[in-house]
Amino acid sequence: MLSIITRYIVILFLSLYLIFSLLNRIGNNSDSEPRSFITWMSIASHSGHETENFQHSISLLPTSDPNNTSVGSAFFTSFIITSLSLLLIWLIVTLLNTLLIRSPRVVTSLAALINNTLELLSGLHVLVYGLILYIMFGVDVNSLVIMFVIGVGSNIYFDLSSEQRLFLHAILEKDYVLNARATGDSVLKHIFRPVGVFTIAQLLGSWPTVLTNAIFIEIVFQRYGIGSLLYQNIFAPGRKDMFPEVDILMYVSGIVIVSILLVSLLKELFMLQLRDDR
Amino acid sequence: MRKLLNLIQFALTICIMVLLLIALVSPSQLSPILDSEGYPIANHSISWTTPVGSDYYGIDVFQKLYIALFNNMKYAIASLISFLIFGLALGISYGFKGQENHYEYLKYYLRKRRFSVLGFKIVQNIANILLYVLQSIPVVLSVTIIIIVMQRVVPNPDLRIFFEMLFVGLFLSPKIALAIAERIENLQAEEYIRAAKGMGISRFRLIFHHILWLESRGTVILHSINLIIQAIMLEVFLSYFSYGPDAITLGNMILNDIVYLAGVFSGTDMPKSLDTIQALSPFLILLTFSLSFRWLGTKAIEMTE
Repeated sequence: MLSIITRYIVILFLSLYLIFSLLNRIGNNSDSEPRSFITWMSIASHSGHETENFQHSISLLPTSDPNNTSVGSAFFTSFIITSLSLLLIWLIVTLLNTLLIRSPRVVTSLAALINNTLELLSGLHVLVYGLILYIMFGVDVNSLVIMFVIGVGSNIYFDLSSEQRLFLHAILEKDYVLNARATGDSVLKHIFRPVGVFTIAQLLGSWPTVLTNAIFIEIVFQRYGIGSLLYQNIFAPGRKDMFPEVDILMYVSGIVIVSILLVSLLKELFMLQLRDDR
Repeated sequence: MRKLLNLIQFALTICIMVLLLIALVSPSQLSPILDSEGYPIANHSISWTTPVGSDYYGIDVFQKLYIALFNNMKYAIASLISFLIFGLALGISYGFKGQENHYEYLKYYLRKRRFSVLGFKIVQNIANILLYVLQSIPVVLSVTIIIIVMQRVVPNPDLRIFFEMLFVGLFLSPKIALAIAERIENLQAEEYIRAAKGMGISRFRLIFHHILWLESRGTVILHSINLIIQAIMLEVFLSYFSYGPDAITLGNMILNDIVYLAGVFSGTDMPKSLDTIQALSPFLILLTFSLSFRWLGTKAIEMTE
């Protein structure tokens, strides 16, 4: 376990260093001396940065200063949107799969129709949905629609649905489940742990993909979150020929990469635990 | 239902292929539709010769569409080249890592003075670390950083997009690398691979013929198709925010005509029906392309497995 954690720390350090070395010489500090990675990290971890272009400060946690940009609170919003999108899609997948496995013929064919349609729709990229919604409604789109679009457009629906269906079919044919059925015991009690572990592993595995797509959608709709920070500093009209806020980009990169690596680490530890159990 | 969907997607794939074929054999320079006196015909109506009509300058919009699709495919192929080169190299390296990368093995090679093996193992370890690093950076961040850096380094937008796409391919390469690595790890236990090794087949032939071509081509095709779709979407994304190329692309066409579509849905500034059709056409191409190429990917997997 220690070697896995060490590996993730090394990857985090190298990823941030790669981004820092790419950005450090081109941004708002082009006139001043390039800073070292260690100096930048120590300032970021203690007090946050004062930016040169807009006379405002950046920090991880929110402060009472109105000129302060809090990357942490923006990330928290993106985190919530991502998690809710994933949960929404997982609920739809679970409902349709339960219907497909357990219900009478008419309901099953209806569920199959919805499932096929959603599988087809999940083939389209999230940006296509984003553009269509933007043209139809502008930037004022309902949050539930946004979450649904992020979930479907992330191309995870097909994987979630097919893997879950295969897993449920396999587990319902296990000997201990058949035995529980025969003796009149609760099947749910027996399949709860493996299904729970499988679901958590599936959700953790899909989370980074959904986060990326959520940021894309936040950029297109200029919604508050990591995407809106990128929009204001890079993609907004008139920003093309200006020097970007390298410090903001570094903070955003740092927090997003830490979250993705943390989720991947959790998944790996989870799978390790599962293997030990077996 | 499945059969009908398959049929529709097959028809869409044929349409896209025909468009690409037309783009390949037609001149890439735009030429206006002229009347009998040699003047360009602005807003020419829809006919057999001009399926989507002409624009304000008399340019055939259908011609613009297939040139745009062709340009997008060029950028996507640039991305695909780096994706495949880096992805396959990283995947093979990661797939063959085995136990031999362990510290004790490296010490053994050092003691036995087998420096060529040791050098290979070090390169392999660096490649594996690079794979982990690239995998941890999400595509939206890599795209943002690439466009900022390229904005300063390459001033020509038409050339810049090629470099951006090459780097996007590099940053996305862990997807195929991990799939190939998993395939290699599973195949190493297969009897016929062990038999091939025992018969003295070279490692090069084993990797490229037996593992990559015979066993993994479906995976490679599927990931390549996904990358092509993603590269085309990224071009649209970049052009939408004015970071795209100057050439005619689907992204630029959407950006130029988006006001007409917004007018249709808001109902405040209703455009003419010809403008609406012309504004919708790049969207339709984008949708058709996504659906048909995804279908091609699933068919590739079905055929090879």
